Amino acid sequence: MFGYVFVDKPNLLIKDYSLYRAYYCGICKCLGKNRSQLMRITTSYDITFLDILLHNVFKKTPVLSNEVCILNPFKKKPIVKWDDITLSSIEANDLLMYYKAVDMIADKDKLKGKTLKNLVKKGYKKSRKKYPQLDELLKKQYEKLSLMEKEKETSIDKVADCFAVILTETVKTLSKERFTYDLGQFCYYIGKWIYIIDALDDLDKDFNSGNYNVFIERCGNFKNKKQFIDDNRTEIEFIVAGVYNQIKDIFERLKFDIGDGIMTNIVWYGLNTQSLIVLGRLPECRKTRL
Amino acid sequence: MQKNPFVILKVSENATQQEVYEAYAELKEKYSNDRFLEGEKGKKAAKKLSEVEEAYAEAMEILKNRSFIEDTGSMYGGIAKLIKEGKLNEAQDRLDDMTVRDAEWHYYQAGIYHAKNWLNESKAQLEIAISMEPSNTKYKETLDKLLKKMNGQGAYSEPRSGYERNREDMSNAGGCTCCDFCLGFLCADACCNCLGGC
Repeated sequence: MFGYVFVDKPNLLIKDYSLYRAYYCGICKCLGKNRSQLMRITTSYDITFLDILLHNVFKKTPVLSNEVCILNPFKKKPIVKWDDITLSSIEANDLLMYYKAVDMIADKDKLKGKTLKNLVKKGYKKSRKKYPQLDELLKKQYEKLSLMEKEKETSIDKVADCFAVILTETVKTLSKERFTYDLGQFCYYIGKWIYIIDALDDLDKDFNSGNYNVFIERCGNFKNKKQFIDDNRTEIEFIVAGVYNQIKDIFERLKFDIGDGIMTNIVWYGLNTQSLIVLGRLPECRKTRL
Repeated sequence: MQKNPFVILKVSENATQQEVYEAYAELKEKYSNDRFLEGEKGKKAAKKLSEVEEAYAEAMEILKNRSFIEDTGSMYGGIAKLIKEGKLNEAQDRLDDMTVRDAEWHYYQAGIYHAKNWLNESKAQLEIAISMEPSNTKYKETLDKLLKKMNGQGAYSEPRSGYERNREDMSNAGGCTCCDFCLGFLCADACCNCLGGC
């Protein structure tokens, strides 16, 4: 989806890497079985993160099995057999991707937006029936976001809140009676972090296309991304660090029985690396994101 | 729908930290003894015990968050109570109704923002309150508390699941591998990892 919540591969233990890939493959297979073969391309590490999180919430150990991949039918590899939790993750994925597509169309990214919308439409209709309240909420939150964009809102907290609530409520709906305060806080700050990092990453793109960007509205005087971040470095790094530190603190209170290694790597290394890359403190190696 | 930690501990939502601790201690003792009973009773007690432990940790965290600002005892007292009860929209409405926007008004606005996790806005409000009333130590103390929270608390020197904290040689500084370029391209990535991986 956004592609920012990711592990830090060079520092990932291979056992965690295998499990991470296994979950990823599990989602791909789940999409193939429950949606369509084409929908499998929407597999992302963001939804993998959600899937691992939910397996922990329900304390459900994944069942691994060696299976072949559609792209390499010659070699079997370990994948997590999808279950009802994986199914709920991909249903959430339908809803999130649909509204993202709608947002992209509004943001003048018409071609990509329309393609994505058509791709997820069928799955979205199915998921919408199962989670009508969540669908309503996502719609309202994106409308709220849209309104703030039109009004050129300058408060980071206020704008990022829309997206943070989206992630929190998604996890809340899927976690049902197992949702806790700490989990809610964790999801809130991760959602906020995603919004902020996405806004910083898209500085050039938004400026050139005339789209709303909270940082440009707030700090003004934009020439290019590098200059903008250098000029406002203290404030921007304070904002990013503020959110990231909350994620780290809340993570200390959460216990992950399943995939704790993956989660630790994501929170301690992965998110930090992404922040540093976007802030221009590390060379950027990853260029494609869906 | 979700398990309410206050319900599990059998205290009211407005309980103080002391009341929560006492309820927790009582239940903990009960279940700690009961879990040595035979059969189903023992198992149930063990499960209840871990439930009580989790509920206590969660309740304390919620209370800690709620006690960010103190009741200054003035006409804003009602608002402090609403914030503590989590009724943020009501508290905000009450604040919006006030015409006088003095330092104390900004202090309570900071409290509402903090409860909503809008830490940057909360900081801004506290700074305004301090600029209006520089001699007030409480506002300064609250700002310090907020800055400490924003800078992150606690040393994470303990390793977790095989990972160590505070590693200087973090990631991409070593350059990217061909796998990183592949990552965006599903097929190449699949080949890279399926045909033996790197």
